[in-house]
Amino acid sequence: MDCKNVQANLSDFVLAELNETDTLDIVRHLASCRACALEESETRKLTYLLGAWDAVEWRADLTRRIQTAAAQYLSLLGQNTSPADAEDISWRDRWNSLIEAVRNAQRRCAPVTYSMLVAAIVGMLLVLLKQPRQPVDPTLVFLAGIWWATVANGLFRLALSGEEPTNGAADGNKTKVDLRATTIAGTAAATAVAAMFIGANLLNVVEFVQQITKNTQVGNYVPVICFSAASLVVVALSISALEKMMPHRGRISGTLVGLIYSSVIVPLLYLANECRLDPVLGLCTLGTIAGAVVGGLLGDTFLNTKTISRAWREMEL
Amino acid sequence: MVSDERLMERVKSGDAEAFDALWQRHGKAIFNFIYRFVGDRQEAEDLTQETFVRVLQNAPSFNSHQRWTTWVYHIATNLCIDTHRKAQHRQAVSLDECLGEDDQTLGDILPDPQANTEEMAQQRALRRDIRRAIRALPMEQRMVVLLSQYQGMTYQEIAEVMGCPLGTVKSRMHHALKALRAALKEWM
Ligand SMILES: [Zn+2]
Repeated sequence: MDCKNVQANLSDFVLAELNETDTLDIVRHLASCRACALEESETRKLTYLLGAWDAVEWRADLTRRIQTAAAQYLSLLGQNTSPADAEDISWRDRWNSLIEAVRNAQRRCAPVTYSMLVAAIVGMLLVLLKQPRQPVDPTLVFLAGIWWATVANGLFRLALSGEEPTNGAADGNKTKVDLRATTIAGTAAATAVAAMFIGANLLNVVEFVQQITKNTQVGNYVPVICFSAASLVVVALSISALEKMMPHRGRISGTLVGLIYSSVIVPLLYLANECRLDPVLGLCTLGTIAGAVVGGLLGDTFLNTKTISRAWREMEL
Repeated sequence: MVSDERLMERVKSGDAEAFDALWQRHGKAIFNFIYRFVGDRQEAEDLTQETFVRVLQNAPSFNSHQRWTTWVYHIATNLCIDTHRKAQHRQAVSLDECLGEDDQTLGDILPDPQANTEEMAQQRALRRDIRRAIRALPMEQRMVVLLSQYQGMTYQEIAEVMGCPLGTVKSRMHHALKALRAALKEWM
């Protein structure tokens, strides 16, 4: 790390918010750079100084006031646990914990893992469908990939993001059952399933599985699989570059889900149909990726203009 | 010790003792957070009361998988922001004027018999300058400094409370500390 980097990270260093590698880098730098060491000691001194503003006491009657104000709500809460309401609350609780679990999964899972899960579910859906072979229109496959990247992914992210409703009420909105978000998520899920059915019909999954299992020349598929893997790497690199440009990681990671779908699932679906390496397939996949990058970003941007403009404002501060 | 989240589950069924326990555990910290933000004792007391009323109003939607402190500070933070915005609209008198010199701390009320008057006067002057420097910060930066320095929250927790990305918290903190260093230069 150079002086500029070290000084940019000094507050995080002093507050022990850096990872081990960066912390060690800074420690090493401080040992050899007097200017940065001085900056560090000043920052530490400042945080120590701030501690001089110690806590104040409230007036004696605040506890009594709060107990009085609380009494009526507590009695209401006590009444609310009648069997019918209890059922209502537990339904909401269950729904909230489901939403929360999905949110946490999204937050904790690396986007790639999350995408794999999505891919696995989609794959299972496809295998479950048995339809006679029909001709494939490549345009529809591109549209399916781009559609996923923009609409479904954007809507899911919006529904699960815990964005506050626009009424701006100052309370714990994040945990409320948000009917709007629920409706959006429900509609998105229904449309996604419908689209998968259409896609599966078009692409004839049974044929694909049969060919894969019969064909012993695995080598035929290697180039296509390599191509998919390479496109993943390209997408991941573009995403990390974009994340540096736009600090709103959540949104862009969401887009990544769509992009991976488009770059991995779509080529595999092509493989299902073609079962051979085709230069046109390569070009088509590249086109899909490019379309999905643009589409995914546009979709997420349109759906989250408020959040993204806030992120930009933060950068300007 | 029973966790805050368990206590809140009991509050959901109207348990007054559990509510009292949460108040005893966190009341003072939340009051001080609000007080440091708004700068007026009476207003801070009113907002603390409102925060705990909202805890009860929103109790049914509290999910025990989330951290209670994150949830309650989110409520308090939103209340502070609303109040700040309203005050801006009203073009209210400056916070420092509101506060005057009555910003007494426990140390002022129960002075240390060993400490001499000059030392105390200096401490008071330092506190006044810190207060002014922090209140001169833009609202979001002030919030981040208060949550980090006085509530001991990590960036991750602050991001959850404020509903913003981690990077935003970092950048707010960086700018806030820079401004504070400039403002408190003579004390360093
Ligand atoms: Zn240096």
